Amino acid sequence: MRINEEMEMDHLRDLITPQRVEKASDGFTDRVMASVRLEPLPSARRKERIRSIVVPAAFGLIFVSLIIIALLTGSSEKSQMAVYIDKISGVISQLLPSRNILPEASIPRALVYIPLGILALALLDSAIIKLRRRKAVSR
Amino acid sequence: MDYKGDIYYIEQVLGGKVNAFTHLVDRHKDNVFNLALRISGNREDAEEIAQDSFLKAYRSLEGFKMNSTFSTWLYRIVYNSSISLIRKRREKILSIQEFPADAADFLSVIHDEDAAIEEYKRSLVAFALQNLNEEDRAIITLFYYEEMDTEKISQVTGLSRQNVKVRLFRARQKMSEIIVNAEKKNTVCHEDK
Repeated sequence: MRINEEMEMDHLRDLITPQRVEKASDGFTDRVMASVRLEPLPSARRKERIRSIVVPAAFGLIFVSLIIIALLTGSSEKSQMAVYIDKISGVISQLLPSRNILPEASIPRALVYIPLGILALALLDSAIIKLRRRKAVSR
Repeated sequence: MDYKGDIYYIEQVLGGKVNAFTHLVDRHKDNVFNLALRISGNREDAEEIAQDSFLKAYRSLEGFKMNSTFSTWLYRIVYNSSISLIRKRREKILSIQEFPADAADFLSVIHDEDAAIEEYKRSLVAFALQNLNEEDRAIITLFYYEEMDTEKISQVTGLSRQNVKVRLFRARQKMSEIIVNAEKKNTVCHEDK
């Protein structure tokens, strides 16, 4: 209760006058707006934020799926799931250029795809970064 | 031109009309600058804090939920920017140990007695304020200069209302001590002369 009492008997208030004597310097608004105009639009920022989450998530998902596929397709006893994944991996492997290099991929052989996958993702990532930079400069 | 309200211009900016942000800056720049100045204690830092705060506000305008006023939200950004800048520069800031003048010194410069006493009081309060830590200084500024109640201060600082009350109480006590000590010293010095 002491705090509330103190608030009521406030002597400092007599000393403090809440006048706004200071003003922002001339050209303040122009300087702020010059910095603001260099920023991306709020809507563009939202798209960029979504892209920055969705793109890595999608590639991460593909990458993890490839590892799972590689592990499951090499198994000697194939479950129904593995058969299904095998079909998908068949389709994917059609698209992979290394199909001719490793015609019969088993678990250890399929693992060779992992560094290739990492390399491909790294190249794609650097290409996207370059593209974004170019867009930002042209803007 | 009539000011159409913060929400109107916020919606314009979010809709892609960047220039609408000019109205928000013009409307709030003096309040933002004053708050930054009182917390930081110098014009250069206040200018930097104020500019930085508007830029941060623009960047996170989408995050403004409209459940508080734009000014309260903006003050929160100013408060956080001020505290972090002061903490970053803490080692460079020298605290003022002694109040350099007394009422007689003011009277020798300002010949009107009432104006001299007013100026003396203002300087004494400013001196006491600068000797508080940055968070207490901000709370005192929001309460006395911005005339906010403890609920609003709690929204700006992120502290609980009870915590604001306690800090306000302690900061006020500390300020009173500083003022009393400065006046005592000046009285002793004056008697010695």
